[in-house]
Amino acid sequence: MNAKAPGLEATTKLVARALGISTSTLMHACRPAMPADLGRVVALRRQVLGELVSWDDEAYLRWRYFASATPATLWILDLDGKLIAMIGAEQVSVTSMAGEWVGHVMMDLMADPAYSGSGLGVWLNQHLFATASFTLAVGANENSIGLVRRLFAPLPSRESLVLPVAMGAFLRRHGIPRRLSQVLGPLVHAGWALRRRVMRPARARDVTLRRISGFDEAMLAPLRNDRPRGRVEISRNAAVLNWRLFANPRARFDVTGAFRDGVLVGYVASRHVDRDDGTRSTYVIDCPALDCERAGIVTLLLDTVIAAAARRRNASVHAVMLDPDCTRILHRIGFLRRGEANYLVAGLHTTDTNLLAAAAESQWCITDLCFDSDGQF
Amino acid sequence: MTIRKVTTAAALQMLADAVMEDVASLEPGRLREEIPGWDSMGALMLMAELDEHLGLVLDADASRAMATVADYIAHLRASNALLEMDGDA
Repeated sequence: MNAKAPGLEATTKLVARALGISTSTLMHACRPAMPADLGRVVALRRQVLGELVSWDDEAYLRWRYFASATPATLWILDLDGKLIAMIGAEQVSVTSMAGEWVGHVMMDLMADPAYSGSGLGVWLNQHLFATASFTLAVGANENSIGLVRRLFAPLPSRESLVLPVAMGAFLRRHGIPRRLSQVLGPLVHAGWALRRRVMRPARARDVTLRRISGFDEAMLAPLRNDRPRGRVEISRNAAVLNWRLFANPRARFDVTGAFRDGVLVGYVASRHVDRDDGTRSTYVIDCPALDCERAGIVTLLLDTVIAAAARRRNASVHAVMLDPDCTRILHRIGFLRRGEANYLVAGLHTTDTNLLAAAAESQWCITDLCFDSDGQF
Repeated sequence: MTIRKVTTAAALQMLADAVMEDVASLEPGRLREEIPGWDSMGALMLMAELDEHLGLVLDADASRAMATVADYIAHLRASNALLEMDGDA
């Protein structure tokens, strides 16, 4: 964290003065959004995001912040009846061998451009910091990257991974001319398939795969209770998974569970995404498995995703995660590392010394369950 | 509140600290949009620097109007926050 960044009290004073209002007016203007605010929230997002919003944003926001199962709150700054800024916070728990902490992930930070330069983004973040024992930043854009880097202690960057499925299309995406791609594609594909067969971990045995259309706590218990030493993970609970994976109007996920003797030992959640260049790809948002045979279960689950992607003639399979152990497994399966990007950063803000100690001694594991792109990046 | 005055060099150092840039790179014509650290965080840090060291309040309109390093220096000059012997930025 940047020692020079002013604290909440100083920031409140500076921002209030920049806006020409009192500190108490500023603080009273910040409140959780209600359904009646939705129209103005949509309008501000349209103003800031413009054509980036290609989905029914009102339905999406209703699900994200106002559905009964949502763990998220949207804080808005409502000044004299004008909505000038907002920030979202999704409640999450992180667990490690050392304990469990409840905090939140910051999201959807934006301000009316007419109020830029007033420090509102910083103030809204610091306001969030004061309401939970920790705040995670997962991803950033050009507008928020400086703020994430200076207000949050850096966690290792998440890794973006891609597995080419249709090699011809993959080569074209990387600038190889169409005709050459058609010739090279099958050859490269054959070589890549051979490499995958040699390198990939052995699949788990005696495991049954079946589609999951909803979670319950009893089903999830084996995964929830599996707390490997040296790892800090975001807890998964049934209500949030059901909301996140099956009720999202912008992105419905296919979930395949791996069961041994009827007990869930892992699952993979994925969806098919139309990309801007006209190709389709498969996006994996989450793939947890029991630690004791993680490589075999993850390999088995991802093989089903890769096979489904091939049947649909999707060009590639994508995943983004902060999880060094799982990343190594994906590399052995044949996933390649994609370039660095701002949206891959992750950061932690906390004053909890126990969490800081656990964070320093452990590997963080964060999947895209905590990042709202739904594969659209 | 009385505005304290600084040299142009000291003013540039405050900007450099706020936006996390090498002061030598802050040429007068350099555009704000070319300076990655002069974002929302940098703007707030600059407000804090000016408040703490000069007692100068930077409002949102003035902050937003600074499109170059020279604009920043010009704002300090207009606010009577630059030492007169220390002329051109």
